[in-house]
Amino acid sequence: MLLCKTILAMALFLAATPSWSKVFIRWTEPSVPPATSLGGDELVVPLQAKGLIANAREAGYKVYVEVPISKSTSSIRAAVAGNVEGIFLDPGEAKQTQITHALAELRVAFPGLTVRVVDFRGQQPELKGQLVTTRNGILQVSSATAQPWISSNLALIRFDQVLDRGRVPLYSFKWNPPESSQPDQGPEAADYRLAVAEAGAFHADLMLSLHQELQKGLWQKNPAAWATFAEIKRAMTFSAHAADGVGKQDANVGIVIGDYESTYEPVNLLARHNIPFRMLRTPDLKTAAIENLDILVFLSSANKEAALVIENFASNGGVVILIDSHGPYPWRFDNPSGQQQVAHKIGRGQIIQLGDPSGDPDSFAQDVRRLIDNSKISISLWNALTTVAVSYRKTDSSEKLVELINYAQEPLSVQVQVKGLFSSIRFESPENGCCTSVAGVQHEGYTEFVIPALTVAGRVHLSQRNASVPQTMKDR
Amino acid sequence: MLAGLICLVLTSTSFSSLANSFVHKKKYLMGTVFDIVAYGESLPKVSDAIDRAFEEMARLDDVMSDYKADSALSRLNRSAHFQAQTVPPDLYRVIEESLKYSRLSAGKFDISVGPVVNLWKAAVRGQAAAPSAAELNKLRHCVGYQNIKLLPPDKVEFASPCLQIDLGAIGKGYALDRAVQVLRSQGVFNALLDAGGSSIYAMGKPPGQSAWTLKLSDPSKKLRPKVMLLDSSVSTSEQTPHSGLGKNSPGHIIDPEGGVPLQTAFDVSVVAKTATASDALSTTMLLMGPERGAQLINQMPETAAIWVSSNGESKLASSGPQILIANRVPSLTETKSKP
Repeated sequence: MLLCKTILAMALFLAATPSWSKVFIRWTEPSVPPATSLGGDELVVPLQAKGLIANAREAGYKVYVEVPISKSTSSIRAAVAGNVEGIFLDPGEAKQTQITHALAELRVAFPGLTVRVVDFRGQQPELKGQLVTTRNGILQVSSATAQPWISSNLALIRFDQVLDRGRVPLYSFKWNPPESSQPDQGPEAADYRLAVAEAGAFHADLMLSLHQELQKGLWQKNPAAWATFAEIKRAMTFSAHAADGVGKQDANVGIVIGDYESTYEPVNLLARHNIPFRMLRTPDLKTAAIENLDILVFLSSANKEAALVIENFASNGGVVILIDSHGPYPWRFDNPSGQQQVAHKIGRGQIIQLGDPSGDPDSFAQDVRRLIDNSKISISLWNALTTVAVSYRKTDSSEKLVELINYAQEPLSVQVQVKGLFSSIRFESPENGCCTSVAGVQHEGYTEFVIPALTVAGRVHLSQRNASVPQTMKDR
Repeated sequence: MLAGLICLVLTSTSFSSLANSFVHKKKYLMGTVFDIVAYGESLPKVSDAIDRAFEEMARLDDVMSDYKADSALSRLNRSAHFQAQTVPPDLYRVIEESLKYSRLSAGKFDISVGPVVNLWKAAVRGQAAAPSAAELNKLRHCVGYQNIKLLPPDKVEFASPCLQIDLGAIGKGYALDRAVQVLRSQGVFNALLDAGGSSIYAMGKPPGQSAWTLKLSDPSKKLRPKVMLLDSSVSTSEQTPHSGLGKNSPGHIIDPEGGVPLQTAFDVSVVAKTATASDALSTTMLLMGPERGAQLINQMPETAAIWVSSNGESKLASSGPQILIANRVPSLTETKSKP
C-alpha cells in the first residue's frame, strides 16, 4: 500500500515538474500584494507563518510552504490545514538517505501536493573582486586569480541534475551581506535579474528570496520597489521560455562525480572557463555514455568495471585525469619522488594522476582546455572573461541553443564559436525580446558570430535557414 | 599583459566609528575587476566619490583599450603610420610615460610589442601551435619603441608601417593613479584601490593603522614578503605557470627583444610612488631579471622590488621602501642603493 502511494505521489510530482525553468518567489512579510498585481500566482512562505499563509491564499496565490526536515508530518498537517499547493523541503544538514526517506514520507502523507527538496547550497551569482570586506572593516583577499572570479551555480545545478537523473533541480541561496557599512538596502534590480537569468540559462528552478525592504516596498505600493519587481518579472518571463525540444548540453569533458565537496571546486573552475562538460555517476560510466567525450575527469573512487572503462577510453585516444582518485586500477604508476602529477601512456591516449587541482585556480581549467583538440571543442568564447555559456543540442534536429550569462551585468561584445555549420543565427535577450539576426562566418566546421551587447542574459538560436523559432518567442 | 598576483591585503582595524565607515565597490573594467574600499565619515559622499573614480577609469578604458575598435588607441593604431595623429591628453601622457620606461630598460619594456603578442595569443590559449620563426621574423621590424614619435603637445606618429601599441603593461596602473586623483578631489584620502590583484594603490592609511599592510606574491610559500604602503603602490608580475597536466602554455609575457615568451623562474613585485610606475616596472623587472633589474631599481627614487622563485630563491632591491621578509633563507641576496 505504501509503495502504491509512493508511486502515485511520484507520478504526480513528475507531472508537476516544470519544463524549463521556474522562479518561486519566497515571501516572509506578513502582508502581501494581490496576486494579480504581482503578476504570478505562486508564493513560497515559511511553514510557521500561519497568518501569512492565510493572507496569501486570500490575495489569490497558490501557496507552497518551506518546511525544515525536522518537522513531523502531523505538525505540517496542522499548520497547512489543506491550504497549500505544495511543500518545499529544507534538508538542512541531513544526509541523502534521510532526505530521500523524508521526501517519500511527505509524498505519502500529502498525496495531492507537490513535494520538492530545495538545495540551499546555492550562492549569490556575482562577479567577485579581490577584496573581501566585513562590516567591521577587515579586508582580506579572496582566492587570488588573474581572471575575474565568478560565483556561479552551474556546478551545483549540474550536480543536482545528475543525482536526480536529469530532473529539473530546485535550489536557493542567501544574498550576501552588504560590502559596506551602509545600511542594508538589499540587492539591486540587476542582482535579482542575474539570479533569475542564471537559473534559466542552466535549466533549473530557483526559490528566490525577496529582500525584506523590497517586500515592504511592494505591499506599501512604493513605485521604486515596483520598478525593481518589473525588472525581475521580465527576467522571469525570459527564463521560463527556452524552446521546445531542447536536449542535452554539449560536452567535451565528462566529470565522474564524487561527493559534493570534492566535486564542486574542480567543476566550478571548468564552468567559469567555459569548458563544455557534463557529469556522470560512477554507475553510469559505460563505454557508450562517454564515447563522444575527449577528456574524463575522475573525482570519485573507481570500481573494477569503471577502471576497465577508463582504460578503454584512454586506449582509444581519450585523456583521463584522476584527481586524488583511488581504485583497483589495472595499471600502475611509478611515482617514487611523490610528484603532484604523473602521466601514463595507454594506447593512443593517456591517464594523468593528479593530486590537488586547486593550487592555482586558473591553471587547472586552462590546462584541461589545452588538452582538448581545437577541432573538437564544442563552444569557445572570446572577450568573455565574465561570461558563462552553455550550448544545448535540440532533440531530433541539428539545431542548437546557446544560453549566455554575463556576470559583469554590463553590455559586453562577445565573440562566440560553435561547432557545426549554421546559416541562421538569431539572438534574443530580456531587454530586446526575440529575435535579432546575427551575421555569422563559417569555417572548418564551426560557426562564428559576435553578440554586440550581452548585458545579463542572452539566448542564441542556431539553425539552418528557414528553421522556425518557437511561436511563443516570436510573439514576445 | 600582467597576470601577477598579490596574495593578500589585510588590515585589522580598530573598531572606532571611522573604522566602521567604509564603502566597498567593484567594477569590471579593462578585463579585470577593480575594487575600491574607501573610508570616510559621510558614506554617501564616499560612495559617490568611488562612483566618480570608476567613471574616470571607464573613460580611460574607452581611450586606452585595444579591444574596443572605436577607442582612441585603436584609432591611433589604425592611422598613425607615417602620419601624425592628435590624441587625447591621457593617451599622450601614458605613451610618454611608457617611452620613459622603455629608455630606462633599454627596450625591455616596450608598448610596441603588440603585433608579436597578438601572434602568440592563440598559442598561449592552447588554440594554435607556437608561431614559426618565419612568422616572427616578419613582425620583428614592427616592434621598436624608437619608432613611436611624440610631437608635443598632443600628436603621435609611428615611423613603421606595422607598429601597434599595446598598453596592457601600464594602462591599469595609469587608471589607478587617475582614480586616486578623483578620490582626493572628492575629499576621500584613505582608500585601497585594487586592479584585479596585479596592481594595488594604497591611499593614506586605514583607521587605527599607520599604513596598509600587503602580503606579496610568494610562489615558494617560504619567504612571506610583505610591505607597508602609505600613498604608494605595488604591482606583481609572473609568467604563466607550468601546466599541472603536462601540456604547457608558452607563457603570456613576451620578451620584446627576441619576440618569444619569457622563460623565468621568478615572480616579481615592485613598490613605487605611483601605480603607473609599479605597473610598468613589474613587467620590466620580470623581463630584466634580478641582476640587471636590481641595478635599475637602485637608480630610481623611492622604488623597491623583490624577485621570488618557487624554490625560495630571492633577490631584493630597494632605493627606499622596505619590503619585509618573514623567513630569510641562505640563498637570499639583497642590494641597496648607496645613500
